Amino acid sequence: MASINLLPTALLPNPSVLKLSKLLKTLVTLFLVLFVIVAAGVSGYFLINSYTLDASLKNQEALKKSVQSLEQTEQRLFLVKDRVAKVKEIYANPSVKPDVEALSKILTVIPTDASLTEADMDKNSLDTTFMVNNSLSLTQLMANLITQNTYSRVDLLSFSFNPKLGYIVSLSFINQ
Amino acid sequence: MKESFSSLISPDLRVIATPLGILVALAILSFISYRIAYSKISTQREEVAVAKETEKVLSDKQKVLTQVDANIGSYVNSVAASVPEKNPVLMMISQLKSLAGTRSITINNLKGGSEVNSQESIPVVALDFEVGGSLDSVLDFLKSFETVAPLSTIDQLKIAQSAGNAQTEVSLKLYFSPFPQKFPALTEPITELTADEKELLAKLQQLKLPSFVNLAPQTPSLRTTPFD
Repeated sequence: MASINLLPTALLPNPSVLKLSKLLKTLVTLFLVLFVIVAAGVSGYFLINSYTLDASLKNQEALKKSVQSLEQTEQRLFLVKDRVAKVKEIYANPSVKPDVEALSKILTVIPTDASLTEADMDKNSLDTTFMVNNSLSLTQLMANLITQNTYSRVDLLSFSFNPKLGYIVSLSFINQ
Repeated sequence: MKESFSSLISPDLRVIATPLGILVALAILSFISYRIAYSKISTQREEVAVAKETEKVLSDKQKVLTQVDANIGSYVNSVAASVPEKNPVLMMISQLKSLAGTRSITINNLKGGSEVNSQESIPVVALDFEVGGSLDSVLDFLKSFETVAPLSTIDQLKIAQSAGNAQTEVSLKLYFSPFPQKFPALTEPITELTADEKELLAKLQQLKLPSFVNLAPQTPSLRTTPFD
């Protein structure tokens, strides 16, 4: 038997609207399923991160205890590094020590009848005064000093002769 | 009333209203949830990153400290004597006398000991003195300063020699620095000693340290003649 619809056609919804309504219901279902899946995923990610954070914090506590037990070592290491930095600064300071070494070398090349009477050292130069008995030794002394190659410049400050003492020569050794 | 209201709504609207309404509500809920979740997850990720970084710092620090634990004690005395905490004049005078004693050198007119104004970042103390002896002994004595602690630099020298005897005026600079008062925080990273630093420390360990004598208190003794 054929079905009879006694409702007036004006009260029925438009077929296209009915199609749209079905589409919307499908979209709602899909959206809901997607929402639930994404929410589950995000919650899972959140839980994993929480677990990782907790584990990391527990590990930190254990490491902190271990580091605290080595507190004395840490303080010693810090002190040693502090002092080493200061020592580097001190060693970088200019000193006349190289001049003392140079003077020791100079003394090894002085002829036997010449002697060093004065030496004045500061950071900039080494000023020396030699007394030499004769001109031959003087020539030898000057030649030996010039071939030293320890200083970049040797200046003659004064040159005099005393009949009793001999030649008195003042030289300044400069490193530029 | 309800029937009259529903009779005002067209059949098309009635059919579409419910799914559309649910869809809009879902969209709004998703948007709000997204905002909340994004904010919480971002904060949590930052916390995890910070926690992992702190964990790495602590782990590295523990490794370094465990490595240096065996040797660090042997370095402390040398560095503390090389650049002492307080004015090192008395220590240096003791060292000078010890060095002079082995070289037949006399030391006179010791002057100074107070801190001088200098351009340097480390406090400096000046010590002036005169040295007498043969020139070779005096030069050897001056070279020996670099073998003892505390560290010093010769600022100025004046040598006058006659008849084999050299009189030398020496200006010495001594250095000291108060020990650090503030130590790094527990979670601050620390690096181990570099090769350069180890080489320098080996050099400092060769320095002759000032010798200190601990005087024990005298024990009471019986006086055999108390009125004498």
